[in-house]
Amino acid sequence: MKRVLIVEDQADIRKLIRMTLEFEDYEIHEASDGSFGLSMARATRPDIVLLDVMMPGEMDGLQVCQHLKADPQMRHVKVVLLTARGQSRDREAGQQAGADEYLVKPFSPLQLIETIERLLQPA
Amino acid sequence: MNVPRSVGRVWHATRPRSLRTRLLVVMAAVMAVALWVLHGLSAVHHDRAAVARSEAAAQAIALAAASSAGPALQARNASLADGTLRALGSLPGVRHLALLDADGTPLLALQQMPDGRVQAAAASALPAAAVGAQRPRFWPLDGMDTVQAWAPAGPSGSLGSVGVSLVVDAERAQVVPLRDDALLAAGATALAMLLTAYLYLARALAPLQRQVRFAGELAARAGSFRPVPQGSRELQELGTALNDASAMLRNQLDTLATEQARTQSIVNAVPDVILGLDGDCTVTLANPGVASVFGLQPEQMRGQPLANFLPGLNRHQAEERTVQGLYMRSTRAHVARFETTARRHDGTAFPVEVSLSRIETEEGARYAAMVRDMTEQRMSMAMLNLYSRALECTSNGVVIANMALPGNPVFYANPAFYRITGYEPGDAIGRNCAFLQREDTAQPELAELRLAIAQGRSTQVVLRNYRKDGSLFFNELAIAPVAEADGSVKHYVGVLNDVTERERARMAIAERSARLNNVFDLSPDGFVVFDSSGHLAYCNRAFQTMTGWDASAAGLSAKEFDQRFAQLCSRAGDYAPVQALVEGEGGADSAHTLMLAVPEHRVLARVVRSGTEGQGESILFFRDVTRETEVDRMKSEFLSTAAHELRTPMVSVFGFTELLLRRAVPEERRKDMLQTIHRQASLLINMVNELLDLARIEARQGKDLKREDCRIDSLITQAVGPLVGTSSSHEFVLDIRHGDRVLWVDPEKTHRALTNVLSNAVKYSPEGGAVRVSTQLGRVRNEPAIGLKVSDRGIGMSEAQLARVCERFYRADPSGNIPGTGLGMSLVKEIVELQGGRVDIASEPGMGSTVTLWFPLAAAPQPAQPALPAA
Repeated sequence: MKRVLIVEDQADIRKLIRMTLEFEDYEIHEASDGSFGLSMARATRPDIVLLDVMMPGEMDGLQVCQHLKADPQMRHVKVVLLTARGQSRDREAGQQAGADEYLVKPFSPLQLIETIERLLQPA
Repeated sequence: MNVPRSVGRVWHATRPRSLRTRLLVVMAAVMAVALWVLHGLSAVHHDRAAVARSEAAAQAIALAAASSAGPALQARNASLADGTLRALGSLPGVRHLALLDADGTPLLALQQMPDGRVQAAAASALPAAAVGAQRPRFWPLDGMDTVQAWAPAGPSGSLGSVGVSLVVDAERAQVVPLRDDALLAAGATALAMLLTAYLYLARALAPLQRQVRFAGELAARAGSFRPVPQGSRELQELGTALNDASAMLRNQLDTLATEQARTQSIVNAVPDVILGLDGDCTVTLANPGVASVFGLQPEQMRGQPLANFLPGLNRHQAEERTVQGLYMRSTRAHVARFETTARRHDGTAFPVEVSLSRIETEEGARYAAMVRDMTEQRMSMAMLNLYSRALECTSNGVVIANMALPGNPVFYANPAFYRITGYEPGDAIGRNCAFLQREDTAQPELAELRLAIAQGRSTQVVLRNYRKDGSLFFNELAIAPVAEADGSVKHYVGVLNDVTERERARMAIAERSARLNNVFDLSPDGFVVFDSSGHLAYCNRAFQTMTGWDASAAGLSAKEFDQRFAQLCSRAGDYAPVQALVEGEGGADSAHTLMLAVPEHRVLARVVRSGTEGQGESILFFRDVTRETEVDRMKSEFLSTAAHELRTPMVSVFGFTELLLRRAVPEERRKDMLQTIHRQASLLINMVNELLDLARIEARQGKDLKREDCRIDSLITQAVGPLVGTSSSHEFVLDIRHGDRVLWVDPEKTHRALTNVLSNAVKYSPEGGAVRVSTQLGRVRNEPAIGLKVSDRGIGMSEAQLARVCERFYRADPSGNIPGTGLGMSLVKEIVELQGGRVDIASEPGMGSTVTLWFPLAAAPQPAQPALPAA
């Protein structure tokens, strides 16, 4: 069973993602801010992290992504950025941070599932 | 009297040469004459003396005879006296002796014979007339000179008388040897004298001969000196005189030589031609001056007729002219002075002034001519005339002032001066030029004028002067000193130029420039001007404020300007330099945006316009678009933020609805999902409403406020109510003291404002804490007002954030970590101020913030009046 980490400050969105993933077979972990999310990622070693960009606190999603990708032990973890910022500039920032995928809110839950499955397939 | 003449002639012809001989001859002659005279005189004298002595003797004898014959006469006996009488009669010289009685009858007459014997003589020998003569008388008798004397005998001859006649020769004979001796002596003396003189002269005159020789040599050896000869004073004087004469001769010769040399040098140096001509007006002498005047050497001129050089001046002409000319008595010359044309040896004609003089000499007429080349003089005169006419004709006024007289009066002013100043000719003469200023003496240029005059230098000033009719004109006055040969300044020349038009134009330009400068200075946009040489000529105040740099101080080149400006930019590499544009030809305007970091972050829009209308100047225009850029940035920031905010609820709405549609969702979960959808949709609606409200308020500026009486307590509780419970970490504390007061406000909008403030208090105190809501009495614009106060214990704001918190789209934390549109407080401010109130915000970073909304307590205005926006 694949492990998924959801890092999102808005409770309702967390709930949406969780409920979406419950239709599939995943182990789900949640964090509500960036720094907590990073430590959870290190602790739980998920296969994929669903990362909101705009979060209050010290770290935003881009920074968490950078940290993950910089960490040799966490580099293999797939990162999907979820954000309401959809401009090309934001996409580039995400790409530069090392994200594997970038989804613009509001996103289709079914598309999310499809993205996760794709990313978790062995290369 | 021919004798003297003939003597003289003989004398002339035969006179001896030497002085000595002459002297001797003369002396001899004189002596001879003297001797002859002496002889004669002495002869006469002696003769007279002899006669006198004879007479005296005769008288004495007569008297003696008379006295001795007295008794004889008384006795009338002559023989008594005979002896005595005979004795007497034998005295040498006696010739006769007669005794007469009182009647005159001769009693006795004696006669001495040549041998000396005395014998009686006839009485008739006595001259009858002589009887009784008182005095002896001279009487020739018998061929011999005798004197006769009578002496009376007895008292008054009463007895008789005696007569004696004496022969003078006896006395004479005695005298003659005397005389001869004297003569001889004299003669001998004379001879001795002559001899002595001859010899002495011979000796004395010898030096004279030497002097004579010396004198003869004087002419040849002037200045030579012989020692004064010993000898007589006259000789010494002669010697001295000769020496003096020698010296004087030397001086005179020297003087003469000097004079001659001087004259010669004058004659040689004189640039004029001096010609000596003979009676035919042929040149006999020419001075060196002919070389420069006629181009010939003096030798070449000699022998040529004057008419070769002064055409038309032949001898007839010369004679006529001079005779009609002036007669100089001192030199006895006729002088004529005239102008004519001369001819050089190469044929060119030139004007000359001729002075021709004619002198009559023994050899005939002679002429002397002095010819002066007048070419230069004519040219000078012509130039002077030209200058004079130029002065008269120039359009500049010219005045000349005499600085040696008190008051420095003008003594010359040309016609242009009068034309410019409108005065009459002569009005200016004798006055100081300052009269043109009238009372307008407070001109700064006057100080420069006075200083220049005091320092004796030239200067140029522009003065306000007044014409005769009082009209003003601008006088560009250039003065220059006129120095004398010794360097002193006796005159000043002034040139006047009426520059009124120019001055007016200049003043107009200056006014315009001042106006433009003021405009530029007031303009909030920056202007920089580069002159045609590519150097910075001007930058206005706004530019200095924008950049913190007064670029006009240094006269920078475009390159230096670029270098300095690039340093101000946040990224020097992004700076677009202007050098190429400034130094290049004109072209289209070029615009750039510059990001400054110094003195602070600014965004400037720059437009460069170069080579305006071929003048080569370039103008840089700067506009501070920081606000716009910021606003733009904030707007795009807002948009993305707004997008984010709007999208976030949509995530739930879209996501949950998709799940509900595409998956089989259990019933209890389904309700939860639907509730979430509903909740998020409401949030979305609020957000959209907020945006629309703000947009509308911006557009409508408060025209659609729906005011009514609202109690404060209900306003507050209605706003606080919905928020209670939304955040677990916050609690609302209400302290309403004036809840019953009524405000005349739009409840819906006021509710919105309150809500925004309250939600901010919650948002910006993420740690939690109490949010206090209270009321306060105060004043707004001197009107009583109520303040609704909301305080939190949140993160607070810095002064900079505080200053901008009510700006549209301003986010204190723009990172987006605290959600918000940035519109909240600006909406609050808009709403409160549109209703006549005021927003006060106090905050301390880390401690919290307090927002007070002040609303006036004024009574409701008449419904007809529209609500005015807050000032």
